[in-house]
Amino acid sequence: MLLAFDEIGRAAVAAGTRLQIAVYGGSALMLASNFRFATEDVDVSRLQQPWPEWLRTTINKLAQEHRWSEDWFNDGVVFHLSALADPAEDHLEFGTFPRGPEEPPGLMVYLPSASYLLALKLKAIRVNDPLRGEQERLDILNLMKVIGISSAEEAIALLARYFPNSGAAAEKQKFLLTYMKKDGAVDAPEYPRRSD
Amino acid sequence: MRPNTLAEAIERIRSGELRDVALAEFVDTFLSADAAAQYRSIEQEPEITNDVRLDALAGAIAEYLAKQHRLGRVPKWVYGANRRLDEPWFTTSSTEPAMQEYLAFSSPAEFRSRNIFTEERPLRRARARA
Repeated sequence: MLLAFDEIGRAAVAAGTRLQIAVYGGSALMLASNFRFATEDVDVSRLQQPWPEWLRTTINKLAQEHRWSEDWFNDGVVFHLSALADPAEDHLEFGTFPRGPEEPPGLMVYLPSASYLLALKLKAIRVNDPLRGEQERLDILNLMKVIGISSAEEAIALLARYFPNSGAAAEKQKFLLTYMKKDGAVDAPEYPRRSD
Repeated sequence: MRPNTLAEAIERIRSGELRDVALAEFVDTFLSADAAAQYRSIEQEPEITNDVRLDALAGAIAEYLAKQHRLGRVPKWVYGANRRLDEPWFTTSSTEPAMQEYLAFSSPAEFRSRNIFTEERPLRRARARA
């Protein structure tokens, strides 16, 4: 994924522009945590519509080269984001691309804070999904550990900070957080770590 | 590259790919297709494996997706005897009776009828159209 970001950054420079994106979900954890390794599509913040030609060309080229799906880079997650998330406080700079001092940056990548990312996962609370439920449960446990919270009540208070309606009707979250298995988190989870 | 069909996803799992990854990628394929392609992606019966849970889960996924997306038809293979479990399977690592009771209540009919007890909206993906 880092190599793909390098390519997007170079294409932006060649097009005489600079692109800023935030990366969410499992792809954010894969990029910047020490507890998520599975490959994911890249869920990013809202992109200019229609995409500029240089970006569409680059994304399609990368999909073909790596045999990725056509929508490996998409902004479908925008629908689920919080209007209350602060652009500055809840987003941290992950890095600029291409990496290295010898090339000008064309892509700036931001990541949601651990609190915001946890709130997004608590809102969806897919811990019993037959496909990725166990991964979701571990992500939630690890993020809670990163933030330093351990109770369902603390987690729901955090959910309410970003999603007041979900936080006010969080009986399901409270039940699942209370009764889900609590072990499996890594000893010292870290998120976010910068690209350098 | 994502599997184009459910049968292909099951074949990948038989070849060693992680179950959750192959099936989640198949669901992404399904969700990004039009109705005709969605039906084609579940039409072919996947091979029976040595994993009875996987065989039942494949049937549940195909029937559930077909009905959720109102494809108007469900492939007959999903109703085969091999697509149903003899013993209940709760899709949770929790052993709490309360959690199992919750899943027994919440599981959609396409899963519950196969003795699979899961959340009320399984296979959700973090995309707007999901």
